[in-house]
Amino acid sequence: MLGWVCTYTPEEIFATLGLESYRLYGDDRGEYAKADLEYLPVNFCPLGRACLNEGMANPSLTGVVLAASCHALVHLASAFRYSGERRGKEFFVHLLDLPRTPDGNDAAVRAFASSLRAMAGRLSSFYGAAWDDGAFSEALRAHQRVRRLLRELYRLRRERPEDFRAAGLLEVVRAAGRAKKDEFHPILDGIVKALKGNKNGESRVDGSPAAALLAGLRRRGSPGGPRLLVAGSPLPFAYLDLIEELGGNIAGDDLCQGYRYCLPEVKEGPDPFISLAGGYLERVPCPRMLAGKERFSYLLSLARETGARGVIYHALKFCDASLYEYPLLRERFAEAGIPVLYLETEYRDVGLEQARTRIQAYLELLGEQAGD
Amino acid sequence: MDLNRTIQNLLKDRGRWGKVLSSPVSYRIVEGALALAKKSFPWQAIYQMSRFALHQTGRAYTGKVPVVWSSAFFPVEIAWGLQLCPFSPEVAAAFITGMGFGPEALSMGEEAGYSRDLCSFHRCIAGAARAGHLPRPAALLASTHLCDGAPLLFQNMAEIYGAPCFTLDVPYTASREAEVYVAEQLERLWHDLAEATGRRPNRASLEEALRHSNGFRKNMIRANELRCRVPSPISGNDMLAFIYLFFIGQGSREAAEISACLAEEIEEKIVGGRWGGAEKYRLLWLHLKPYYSNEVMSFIEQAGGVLAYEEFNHIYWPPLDPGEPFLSLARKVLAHFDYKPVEERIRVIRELAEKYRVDGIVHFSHHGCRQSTGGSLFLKEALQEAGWPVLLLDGDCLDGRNEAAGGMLTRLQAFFEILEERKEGCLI
Repeated sequence: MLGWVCTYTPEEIFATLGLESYRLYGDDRGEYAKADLEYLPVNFCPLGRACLNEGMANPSLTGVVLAASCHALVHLASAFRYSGERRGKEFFVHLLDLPRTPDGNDAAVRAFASSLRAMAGRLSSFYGAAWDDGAFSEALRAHQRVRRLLRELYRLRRERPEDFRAAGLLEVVRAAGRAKKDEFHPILDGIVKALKGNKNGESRVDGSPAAALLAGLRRRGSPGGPRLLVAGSPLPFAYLDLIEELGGNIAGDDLCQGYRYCLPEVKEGPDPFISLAGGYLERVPCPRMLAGKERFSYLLSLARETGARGVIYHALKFCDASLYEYPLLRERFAEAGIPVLYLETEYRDVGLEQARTRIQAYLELLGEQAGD
Repeated sequence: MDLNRTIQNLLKDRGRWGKVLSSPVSYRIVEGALALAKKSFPWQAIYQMSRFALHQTGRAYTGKVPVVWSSAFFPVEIAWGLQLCPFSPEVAAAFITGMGFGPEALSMGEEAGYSRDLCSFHRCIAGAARAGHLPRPAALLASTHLCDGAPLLFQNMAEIYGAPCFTLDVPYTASREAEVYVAEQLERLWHDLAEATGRRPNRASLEEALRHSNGFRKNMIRANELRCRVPSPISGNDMLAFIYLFFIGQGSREAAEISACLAEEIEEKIVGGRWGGAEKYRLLWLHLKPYYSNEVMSFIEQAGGVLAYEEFNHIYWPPLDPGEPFLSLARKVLAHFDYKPVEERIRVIRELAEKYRVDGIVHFSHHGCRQSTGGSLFLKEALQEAGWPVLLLDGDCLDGRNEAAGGMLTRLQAFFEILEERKEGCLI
């Protein structure tokens, strides 16, 4: 089983090669909860540290593919390599070069395609897996089907955010990142149908693996107040639950572990790697991609589409992509009359109570602005 | 002559430091004062470099020449080749801090939304820019290698100043394809930069910049070779001042001349037998140093430590080919040993540690540096296994507000004790 982290990693390649893949989210509870300290400094990216711990705790993981998106992932690759060596384990580590040119220009697409081709080559020789164009077409379709359904879930949430639990939606996205897409599609289909009130869908969900996901998706308690957009670095779920507990209605997100995962549209063409490179690079860029203007206009339109009256922006410590994006984002949203609440965490639930007061005050401010 | 103190005295009225800093007249005055004190400089190369830096900075504030901001590792030969005025905001941040105005600039950066978790160089730049204390750029140049933050900050600054930001996207894996990818970007960028700044792209001028850059490279290699002597002919703390030339001078005639002067001076000192002193601990210094206080560097000196060599002064790239400017600049950028798997940095540091016969290695772990600090534990382990004591000295180059120097000094003291014990053969 192959682990991966960044949403610019085309899972379609793993599926084409018949390799099971597993997105690491940094669930690092258990015996390896502090294993990272042997390899990475204490002020290192908390998500990266948690992913290392999660990877080390998973005995079926035989390798990782890490996009060279930032220095956290670059050093994480070394940490995986060292930890594999130390455990006497033959462990596959590949660092995937990822251009920073966001507009999908030809040179960047070609460069990324070349990185993907090299990665597929290394995977093939390490795992003894062969590339098959037919399998690629199938993988492409399976991934597209799942992404379409995930986007449908997001659309439903946008219509009635008060019925949804944001952390539950992210759980579904997480599950998608860890599942075989052809197996996950019927589960997801059942969830979507159930949420649309389709009786058949509901019956397919009962007692199936989808039941827990569906239960997690449904919001209980406060009907909520203002609609919100959540953006920035991946946010600990407890914070999302807290926002909702305090009356916020999360109507949209711009998170790599959330909506952005659902966005790549890969069109089949004569060269599979060019198709993948184009599809992934042309997707809404992440803050790392140096597409500030494009991102701000996208985020403002997302806020408008979701009816968000406020934005909760979260930055992980060490995460330059988010930390540098925030100052201008705050200004752009202020110009648009949308206040931003900034949260900085270490990817853990620590600090939740301090955040409670700030979120409460922020929601009150939004209420006052709306004359509630 | 203590240049810092001289300038600081001129800027006593802290409320006006920004105005004084951004006036070209200030630089002319200090340049004049410097000329009077020329003979008091222990190294004429440092005198020349200080004048060059002051002249360049003053020029950037005149508004008469297109200023381009260049991030630390961008191949600045491109800007010199277009007769532009390159400006390093990172060096400016160190200068502001050295003058004692760092805390104010940092606070302004934080008020603008830049988290304290970010690199203090960048917070300081953001603060000073927000207050209008930095020269207005006609364009900004940033590369994506070695620092994730610089291109992101420059993108923000470009928005603030309404100037174009040209980003050089550098792949992590060096290959023939990567060279071509970077070279093509550089060529496009050179044309776009010329257009944005109203310059005519002149190939001969670019080739000349590359020749100057080669001169700098050759002279620094010579200086570095001379520095292998024991005891060390020049203080590493002095050598860290030449970072200005590394960041902003490569491609200028002045950098070539200053580095030639430096090599000659070191050689003269050695030949004349006028060097050397008590040298208890020879250190290899990784990354930069604190600029807000001299306490750490003075402590090292007083304890008998010398910086025998510094990672930042290492020449790692092959000579440039003026006939193929873009391809050779691409090769230079891709050759950086810190922008490769950590094993490459370990290999280079081991070689340097052997070459400069150091007793120990100090990694100054600048808080906001993801690249350097992120790999520090691997580095420490590998170098210790190879027999060198390593100190990871946690600190910050510019932000001394939360940092008690005492803590750093205690750690250094303990490290020196280890070195001492090893010398006495108490430790295996």
